[in-house]
Parts: sequence; structure tokens; C-alpha cells
Amino acid sequence: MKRKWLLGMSVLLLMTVLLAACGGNKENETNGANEGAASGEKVKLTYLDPIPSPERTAFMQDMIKKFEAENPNITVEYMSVPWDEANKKWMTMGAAGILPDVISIDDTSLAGMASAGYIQSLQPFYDKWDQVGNLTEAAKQARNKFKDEVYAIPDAFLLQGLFIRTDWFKEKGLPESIDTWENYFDYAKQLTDDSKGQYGISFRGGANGIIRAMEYVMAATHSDSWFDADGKSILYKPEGKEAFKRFYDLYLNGNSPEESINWGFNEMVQGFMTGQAGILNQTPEVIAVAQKNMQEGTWNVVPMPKADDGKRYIFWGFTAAYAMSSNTKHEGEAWKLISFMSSPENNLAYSKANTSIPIYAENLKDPFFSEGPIAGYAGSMADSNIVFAGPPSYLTRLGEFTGTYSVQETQLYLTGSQDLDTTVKNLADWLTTEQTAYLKDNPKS
Amino acid sequence: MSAANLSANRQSGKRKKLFRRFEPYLLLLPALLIVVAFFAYPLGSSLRLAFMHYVLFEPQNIKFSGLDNFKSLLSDSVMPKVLLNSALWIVSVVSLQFVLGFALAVALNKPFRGKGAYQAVVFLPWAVSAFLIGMIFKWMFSQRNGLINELLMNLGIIHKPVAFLALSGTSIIPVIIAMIWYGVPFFGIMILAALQSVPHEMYEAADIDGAGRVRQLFQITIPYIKPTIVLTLLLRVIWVFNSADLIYIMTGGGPANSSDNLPSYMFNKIGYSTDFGQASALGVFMLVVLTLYTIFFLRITKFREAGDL
Amino acid sequence: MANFLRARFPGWIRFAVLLLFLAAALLPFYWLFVTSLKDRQEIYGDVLTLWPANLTWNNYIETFRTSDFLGYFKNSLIVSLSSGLLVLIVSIFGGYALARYRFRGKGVILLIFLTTQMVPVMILLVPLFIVFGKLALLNTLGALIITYTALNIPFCLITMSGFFQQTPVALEEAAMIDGCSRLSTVARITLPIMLPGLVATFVFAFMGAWNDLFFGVMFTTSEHVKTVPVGLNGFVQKFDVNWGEMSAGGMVSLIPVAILFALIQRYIVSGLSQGAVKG
Repeated sequence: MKRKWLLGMSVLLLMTVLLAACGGNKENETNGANEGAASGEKVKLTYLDPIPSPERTAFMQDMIKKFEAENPNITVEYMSVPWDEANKKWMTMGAAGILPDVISIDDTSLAGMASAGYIQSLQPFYDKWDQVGNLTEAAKQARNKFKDEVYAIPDAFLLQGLFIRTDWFKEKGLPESIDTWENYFDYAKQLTDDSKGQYGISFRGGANGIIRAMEYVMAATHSDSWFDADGKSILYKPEGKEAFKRFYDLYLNGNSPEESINWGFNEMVQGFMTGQAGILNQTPEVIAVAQKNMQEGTWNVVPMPKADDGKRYIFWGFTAAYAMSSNTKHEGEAWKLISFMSSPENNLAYSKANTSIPIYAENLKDPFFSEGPIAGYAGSMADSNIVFAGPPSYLTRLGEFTGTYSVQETQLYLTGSQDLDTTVKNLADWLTTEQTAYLKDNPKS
Repeated sequence: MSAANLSANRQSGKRKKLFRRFEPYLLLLPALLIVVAFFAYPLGSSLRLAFMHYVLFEPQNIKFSGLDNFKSLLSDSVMPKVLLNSALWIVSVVSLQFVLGFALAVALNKPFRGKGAYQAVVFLPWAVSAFLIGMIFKWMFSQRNGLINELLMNLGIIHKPVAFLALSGTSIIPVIIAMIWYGVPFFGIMILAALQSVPHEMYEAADIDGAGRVRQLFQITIPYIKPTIVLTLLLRVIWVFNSADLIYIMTGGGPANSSDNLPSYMFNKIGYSTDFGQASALGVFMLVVLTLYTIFFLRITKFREAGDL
Repeated sequence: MANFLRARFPGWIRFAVLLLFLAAALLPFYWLFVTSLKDRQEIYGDVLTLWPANLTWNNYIETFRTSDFLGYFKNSLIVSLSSGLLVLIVSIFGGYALARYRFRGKGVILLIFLTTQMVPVMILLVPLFIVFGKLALLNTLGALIITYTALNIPFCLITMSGFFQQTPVALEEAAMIDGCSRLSTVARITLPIMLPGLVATFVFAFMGAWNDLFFGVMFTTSEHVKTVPVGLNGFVQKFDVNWGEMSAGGMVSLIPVAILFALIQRYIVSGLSQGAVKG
């Protein structure tokens, strides 16, 4: 009995050592990644993708293969990190000085990463880039800058739109569009049928939900910023508070699912797809997901409603722009990769694959963007009466506000543990303090 | 025990005796080397960071900040709630895991047909990663298309789906249930392993004395496996105290932190603020609390006498 | 009668308890399995079905087609077996020392081990990143093996000392008087008696490594070094949770562990240790 056991143990041990050994070989291969460069012959780049999915990963790897074919002296390793962990990983890798050569990064993290010095200014490259003239206005004005220098090249644009359950709208005899915010609140109420577990709005009570609420507050106060000219939060205004109340009443009055108080990105999309909610405020990337999961003819996308001044207050931004790490040893090659991925041809294919708005004016003319659900987005992008209603992403602590502080405060309000006045004041105070500090350091803007 | 052990070897020569003095250290050396090499630097640096302003976003602004991090921890208005949740979390999770695990081990402590297959199945929850458990339970407890709601409605206990994960004050309960499900096999295996080493002669003697089953349990079984019980409980409390992943996945601590425990609250907050100075201060705080707990626990269980540690 | 250990319930209670545990353990697995056999429309459909209306194995096929699941498996096995065995070996030595010797600094050593378990892993992250980065270990399985070994040693070593403590020292003494060396005594007498404890400890260390997601996500970025939990995590995308494929992947990931349990759980049955105690 004992012998047998010992024998079993040693066999296991041997196996592990062998397995570990063959695992070890592979590790060494990849480890050469950043070294071996000094020789100047074969250059190896690393690229980190924060939005992996089977389709996207395949697309990106394909694009990289083409790049390698064009540049035989450069090899690129594709790496990925799930979206939820991406921010944490960028920061940690940045702090440790081991950020991959090229990373895709979202606009919430860009200011922080740039101010920390983890990614480098692309301005010198941008100035010489032959494609700058062909970019759309949105791409030129994008929030890819820090201290007036370009730090990343936008991949493609996203903007808010409303996904609607057309079958529900038909059933209730509603027109299949949402023209004004009045309509929005009204339909939310009409679509709600508690006994069937159906609700109007796929509400976002969790992380970053405040951004959706502020969009409405901006529309209601006709403001193009979260702050007034004096740097005070628009929530201090009586009409700002009123708008805030109205938006959160969607939840308090039961026009959105009870469990949506905790919902983030993912859950609100699922709430819409499982038939829990009839209206979802989301970006065009979701089109592909809805096409996969929902039956055709049960849903569509319509532009965001107009405010009573006739303008659309919409948030838009890039998905994840290409940035270069400060610790890269191959700036030239890294820029080559970035500009390759941003070329008009690749950008068009990329935008189609991700159902998002391309960065080149010419690409927008492709018939793909005038048909189907995405047409609603492309249409509002072309509308001149559009006001950018995004968060103040120049504030380095914005993520903390949208991700944790505002979540706590609004959830206290939604569970009835804190009254409206206190909630609004706390939020406004927090924002105003940060804005004041920012204005002190950056008096011009 | 070890006194007897030493005396048994008294006849060995002097050199051997000298060697014997170093023997325990030599035996512990590999473990200590690995653990110290791995933890020394990270622990040391986080001790230092606890007294510094260290935000990943501001590498130019790293400075000594005294007790600021601790002050801001104490002045955090959410803290009392989170601490209370932490206490509830530990007590309910560990005690139920233990009681259920013990019951399972005792029930398994006798051969029966198909025991092998039964054990393999019943211990399987342990084999699932916390991430997957969080996802499954979140999905099962959801208001829409949730299995639990469906079953309760079929049984006529409720008439309308309940948003279990969104109820202020009770949203932590589904997470606790998931955590118990996850942890029972651990206690089951540990206690079963310990039970196997109880010599059955002891029960025979008790049978002759006419002791009932309950008395046998408390007078023979539990005292005999006490070292295992004490150590697993001690370590499990520390482990559960530190565990945040199920909360993070299932409720994100919401609504309004009502299901947050200490580490999940911090995890979430640091994830956005990247203020590792404050996170380290919390780490130091937890270290102090858990050290006090350890001392208290070992005293109260009289472990020193029982287990000679 | 005398062959059985007596810490047990009366028959019918025991049966009911066993049944309840089985049902409770199986429910989530049942749900995972059912979900893995549904297509997307059914998963997101209006009506909840307790058994797939359109049973499909597509999720399994897709899981293996779209992701390198076999590779994740291999990585997880390498990492978990190596760190499990490393932990087991050093824990046997260390646990024995803690249980059988009286020496200076024992309290300090115990405290060192316990301390490592008391801090949230999150604050270790940045320093570890820097160290592993300098040693060029990031994005390798080596980093994970080292991490899981170090993380699991304290617990396993202390538990192991508990198992040693409850193994009668008299047996060892008898053997040593018979002229056996300490090492061979422990190897021949003590370890076989506490085989269930050894197995339990190994399983613990193995599971600790097998199930970890946090360090897996943080320390690996390349496809070929990802472990099973990291692979499963990949099914949660920015907007979409691929429940079907995630469930299929989850079911598949249970197979090796179920086999492992089936193989080693017979060492936790009574016959073995009982015989040894008798002898």
C-alpha cells in the first residue's frame, strides 16, 4: 500500500516537472519580446487589446498579420485583457514600467495615463502624419489630448442612441421613435407592465450610471458642460436638481426593473435583451450583440431625443484609441503600427466589424453606415444641432466619481436612505471642488 | 507530546543533540524561504505606502503623508456600515460553512455503496473558480429568468419575481449563500480527513461504557480532532475576512454599499482612484485586527496547551 | 459494526442529510449544464425553461473553436500540479517541525505565516508586478507557480501541522526504538496514517491555484499563458456575457477536477488509515 502511494507520488512529481519544463520553453520565447531589440534587426512589438471578443480578436490578429507581411522586420504580439480589468492593468503595468508598446485605451483613462507619464505624446508623429487632413471633425476634436498634445489616435467613434423594442412599441400603439425627452419619460411609463415583469427603461444604477443622468441634466438645463461658466456644477441650479429628480424617478416610480439599481454596462444590455426593459441607452457597438441575441424585427435603434431647445445633447467618444507607452524602445515601429491600424482602409474595415463610426469623412460615405440600425447613429452625428454632452474627462479623479462616489450617493437616494437635497448637494460639491482645483492649475481652459 | 518525544531520544549522542536543535529550523527552511522571498518586499513596501501619498495616476506626487491615509479611512462615512457588514459576513459564512461541513463529514464518515461517486460530486463546488460561482449565482438569483425565483414561484412561496440582489440591506444574503456553497466542501474534506484518524478503539470503549452518539461526538470526536478544527477555523476566518470576489461579481457591493465588506469596498474604490496609499493603510488596519483576533482565538481555544504551538 | 467509525448519525437522518447535501451541491451545476445546452435565443428568451427546448451542443463546439481551451487546460494543470506538489512537500517538512518540536521562535514563525494571509492581495499587486517585471517573469506560468505556491504554503503548512499533531506520536517513538531513522519513520509510519490529511492539503493547494482569477488576469496577457479561469472570464465581454459558451467552458473545466477527485478521494476513505493505526 505504501509503496504504491510513493510510486504514484513520484510519477506525479515527474509529470509535473516535465510539464513545467515544456511550459518553460514557451515562456522564454515570448520573453524576448522587449529585449533583443538593440541589435536593430528583428523588432518585436507588443499590442494590448482591452476589448477582446472572439470576433474582434480574430479581426485584430488578422490586421496584425497584414502589418507583419508589409513589415517583414517587425513582429507584433497580440495580447488582451478583459474590459473590466483593463484600467487596473494599464495602471499597474504603467507603474511597473512594463506597458506593452502599443495599447488601446479609452477616454476615461487617457488623461490619467498621460499625466502619469505612462503613455507618451504622439504630437511629433501626428504633426507629420499625412492623414490628418482627411479626419472627421469629431476625430480632430476628440478627447485624445492632454495639455493640448495628442496622446492617442482614435480608433472609431461611439455615440449614444436609444435601442427600442419595436414589438412592444407596436403593441402599445406608440410611434417607433423617441423625438423629445417628454416622449422618453412618457413612453417609459406606458411600456411598463409590472405584472409581466416588463419595464420602460434599462436603467443604470451602478458604475458610471451618473453619466447618463448628467446627459439629461445637460439637456434640461441647455448646458454644454457639467459646470457653469464660474466652474460650479449645474446640479446647483434648481432646474438641474429638478432634472436629476426626474431622471431618477424613472427608477423610483418603477419604470425600470428593481434590480437595475446595481446594473452596469453589461447588465443593462442584458436587461434589454432578456425582455426586461423596452428602451436602452447605448452605443452602436451593442448592435452586433443585439443581432446575435435577439430576434430580427423586435428591435431597432433611434437617435437620442431632442431637448426643448431643439438640440440633441449626446455623449460621444472613441472606443479605445491607439496610444504608445513611454517605456517602448521602438517608437518608430510602434508609430508604424498605429498609423497602419489607423489607415483609411483598415479603419473602414474596423468600423464595420465593430459597428462604430469611422474617423475618416470619406469612410462615412460607405453605404454600410446609411443602412440598418447604425444609420440612426450616423444620422445624428451628421446633425449640426448636436451638443457634446460628455463628462469632464480632464478631471483625473473623474473615474472615482463616476465609478464609486456617485454610485454610493445615488444608490442611497434610490433606496430612500438619503433625501434628494443632500444627494444633489453632495454630488455637486464633489464635482465643484475638483473643477475649482483644476481651474486653478489650468487657468486658461 | 513533544516532551515525551524528546525524552525518547535522550540516549542519542551529543553531536546528534546539537543537530537536533537545528532540525526544526532546517525543516521549516524551504517553506520560510519561499514565503519570505515572496512576501517580504510587497509587504514591506505596502507598510511604507500606508504612510505615503501614493496614487498611481500621480507618479510625480509621491510623498510622505504621515497618518493621513488612516485619518481618511476613519473619517470615511461608509466605514461603520462596511465594518458591520464584514462582521456579519464572517460570522454567518464561517459558522454555517463549519456546521454544514461538519455535518457532511460526519455523514460521510462511514462507508456506503456509491460513497466514492457521492464524495466526488458533493466536493465538486470547491473545484469551481470563484468567478464562475459568482456568475452562476448571480444568474440564478436574478429577477429576470432567475432559477431561484422560478422555483419559488412554482412552489407558490412568492407570486412575483424578487430582485434578491437589489434589496437594500439583504442583498448580501445571496452572496453569503453562494459563499457557503463554495466553502462547505472545504470543511467537509478537512474534517473528514481528521475524523479518519480517530482510532475506532476509542468508540468501542465508549460503547462499552454506554455513551450515546451525541456524547461520543462531544467527548471523543471533537476533542480528538480539535487541532484540525481550531486551525481550519482560525485560517478560514482570516481567509473569508479577506475574500471579496463573490461580492464584487454578484452585487458590486450595492445597493449603496449594503453588501460591501471591507476588502470589496476597498477593491472597488481603489480600482477607480488607484490610491494605493489608502489601500495599504487599510491593509495595515486589517493586519492589526486579524492579529488581535488570532491571539484572542488561540487564547480562547486554549490552543497552546492543546496543540503545543 | 466494529469496523465502522462511530461518529455518525442514526441511519435515516444520515440519509436525509446526504440527500440534502447532494441536492444543494447539484443545483448550480444543473443550471450551468442546462444553460450550456441552450441557444442564445432561449437563454435570453421571455420564458425560463428548466430543460432546453432546443437542445444544442453548439456552445461546446464554439467554445473549443473560438478559444484555445485545451491550451488553458494545459496551463492550469501545469500551474496547479507544480504549485500543489511544491506546497505539499515543503508543508510536510514544515508542518512536522511545528507539530513535533519545541523550539525558540516558533511563535514568530507561525506569526510570519499567518501575517501573509491577513493582507488583501490587492495591495501586493503593484510591488509584485515590479519584482516579476524585473525578473522577466511576467506573462509566464512561472510567475503564477511562484505566486500560488507562496500564497498557499502558510495555510497548508499550518493545517499539516494540525494533522501531524493528531497522529499519535507513540507510533513514531516505537519505530524509532526499533532502530528506524526519523526520516524513514515519518515516511513509513506517520505519513501513511495521515494520508487523508496529505490528500486534503494537496487538494487545497491545487484548488487554490486552479481557481484563482485575480493573479491570472493580472500576470498574464498572452493567449498561450492564460489559465482556465482567465479563459472563462473572457466570455464576459464589454457588452455581452456569452452565457452559453461560458457555461459550456465551465462544465468542461470541471472534468479534470472531477477526475482528480475521483482518483484521490479513495484515499480519504477509512480503510487505509484505520489499518495503519491498528498496525
